[in-house]
Amino acid sequence: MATEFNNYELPTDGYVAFDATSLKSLINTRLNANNIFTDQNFEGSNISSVIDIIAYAYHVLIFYLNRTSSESTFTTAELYENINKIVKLISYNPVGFQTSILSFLANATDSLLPGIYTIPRYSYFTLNGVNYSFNQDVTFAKTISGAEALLDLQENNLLYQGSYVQYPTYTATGEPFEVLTVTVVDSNGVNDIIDHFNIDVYVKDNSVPTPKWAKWTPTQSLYLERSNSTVYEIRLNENLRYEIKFGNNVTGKKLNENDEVAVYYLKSNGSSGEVGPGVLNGNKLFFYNTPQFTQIKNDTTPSNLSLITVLQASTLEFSNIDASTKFVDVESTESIKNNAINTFRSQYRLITSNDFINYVSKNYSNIISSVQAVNNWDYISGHLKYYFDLGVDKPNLQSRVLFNQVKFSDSCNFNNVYIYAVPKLEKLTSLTTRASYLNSAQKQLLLNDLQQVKLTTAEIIINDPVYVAIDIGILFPGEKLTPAVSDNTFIEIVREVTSKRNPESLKEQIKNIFANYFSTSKDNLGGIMSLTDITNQILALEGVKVINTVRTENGVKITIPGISLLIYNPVYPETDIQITTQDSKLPYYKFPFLNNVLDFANKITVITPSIQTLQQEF
Amino acid sequence: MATIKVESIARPEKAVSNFTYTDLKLDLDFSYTQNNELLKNKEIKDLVVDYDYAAIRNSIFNIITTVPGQRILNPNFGINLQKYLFLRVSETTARNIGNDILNAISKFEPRVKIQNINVEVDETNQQYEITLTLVMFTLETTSSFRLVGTLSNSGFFFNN
Repeated sequence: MATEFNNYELPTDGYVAFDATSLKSLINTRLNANNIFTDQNFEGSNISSVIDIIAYAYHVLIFYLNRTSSESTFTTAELYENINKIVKLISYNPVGFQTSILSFLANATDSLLPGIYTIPRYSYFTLNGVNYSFNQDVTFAKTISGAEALLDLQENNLLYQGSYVQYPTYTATGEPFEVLTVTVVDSNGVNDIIDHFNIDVYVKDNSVPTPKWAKWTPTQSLYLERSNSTVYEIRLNENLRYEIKFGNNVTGKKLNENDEVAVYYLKSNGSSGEVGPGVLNGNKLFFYNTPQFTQIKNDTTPSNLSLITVLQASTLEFSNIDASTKFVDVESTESIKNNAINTFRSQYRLITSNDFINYVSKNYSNIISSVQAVNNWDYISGHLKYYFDLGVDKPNLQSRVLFNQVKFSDSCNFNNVYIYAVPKLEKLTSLTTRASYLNSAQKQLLLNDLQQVKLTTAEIIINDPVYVAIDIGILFPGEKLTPAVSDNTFIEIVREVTSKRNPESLKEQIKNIFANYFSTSKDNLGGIMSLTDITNQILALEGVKVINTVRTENGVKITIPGISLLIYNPVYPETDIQITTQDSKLPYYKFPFLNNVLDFANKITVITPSIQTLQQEF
Repeated sequence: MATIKVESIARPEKAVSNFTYTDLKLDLDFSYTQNNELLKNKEIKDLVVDYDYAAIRNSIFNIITTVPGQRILNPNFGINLQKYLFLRVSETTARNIGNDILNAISKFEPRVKIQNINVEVDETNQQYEITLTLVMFTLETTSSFRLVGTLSNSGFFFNN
């Protein structure tokens, strides 16, 4: 009997599956097993009230137990703080805020004598109240005595939104693996926005007779470093503060007691720091200056560099024709989960195509929305063959391909890795239908960074995608397929007869579905264009009954159930054009954009069947 | 279905009681089931309980004084007498109070039958005197009893 009484029939996951009601029922069952209490079965009794309180308190505890349990594992954690700590186990460093980046054009007037000049790091412009700064010493050459466009300067450098801030000097204690946590909060206790990739650390070794500042470099992991490497590991912790960790003289150099550590970080204005084209025009360059920084600059600038003076800087003219990139928030929990696995797999070395894709999409999410990487074989059998099939006899001479080949490649091609990157920012110009390409400076930035982690023998070329326009189109029998077929083609939405939806708002919503699906910010490079997905999204709208594609020409009307998509390359509209009514996958080098987004709502008609039509149907 | 065995919890003896209903007495207090001075340290201490009439009285008191929603696991339990707080003390309100009590006791207290509910208006003191005549038909010997309480702006209290 005793054994029977001790058998609690609980499911194996009982401790988490319990709730207040089941616990109350269990207590009642146990109390009913003897006659000590009887009134647990009557809701009004005192003991029933006490049981309710116990059961509910237990229920709350179980709720928190469940939350805690699920937050402790990689797959189920949902809170940023937890996933941040969990991925630390596999040495993954989540990416923090990424400030806006601005490319620029630079000219030197004839007042600047020919020579080699260096703009000191952290120099900045003030544009409409926000600063844009250089994050490193920038060297350029003036080669002629007259005015000159400084191509080296503009093509290899970028401006970063924000102002450099000097963190209070830290005096080292000399412990192994010493950690300095950069804590900068405003008066409300909110962390300042620090750009993830622009935190510089300088150390002054006070143990030597003539101490000098030295710039230490960041590393992915201290455990990959030698004992005397002047490196540090930087990590955004769960409280969104940066932890700078130094070595222990076995893996990475240890700080000595009383060493001084200076930290300079780029404080961003967030999304309010984004600027449009032309904002930089005519702005004056300012130099960053503090007593400590002057000392650091003197100690760390090579003596052969000639730092530009204020007078010389005034002879430089800067302008921008592109808007800045968008500000990017800290890496989300979902993104951390994806990237942590991929980074662990690649071990910070770029070998496979996926390694390249993951690395670029993780570290350049502020510039790039979509990325693909292929080897030379895939490049030739894909992108180059595409041009060959189009009838371009020498595809290598196609302007974008040639541009990238000449700028970023050597003469040996078999070891090339081609990275196709779509910038986040749309550039629509009157000359070309679509000109959203990374500029030279952005490509150079990527290249310089990838050099550190790529396979030694691989040569990287940042390539531009082939943009394909997406429209609606139906072809009449015998007609030649051209983009003009889209002119009189419409999406016809048959509304529910009982629907009270405003047709105009319905049109706008449908337009937004298309615009969103083919947005430049989507990872659509070589992606699947799912008409099923778009159709389902439209049918899910309240009041939508049927979707048709309709074309009327000279009084003749053709109706196709569903969506009939016209896809064409606006540069080769005669040869690269097709119509599809089913899901299709784009090749790795093609990126879709919705043609004439602003007018797309006019390509949608909404009709409501009359009651009479319905009666005939039935 | 897995089973969890807790050997340390022994099954208690089936209690033999002369009473039909046993409820916990609130506030919690200890009682002494033995009183052997020589075995004072081994004396069993237990909670004070209410039997039969007192147990049912507890239940009725709880029904009348609980506002629906207060019992999280049974949000329909109780009577909302608070809604009469700012109403004029009158015969009509008294009738409504009586109906509410009748419905609630019928619903939540199956051990008694209501013979009569009398809600008297005390306009002078701005309160109601409630007399319940109940029949405990589930006990071995059917008996009726009266509960008299006062409902005022400070709550409900039994007078007997």
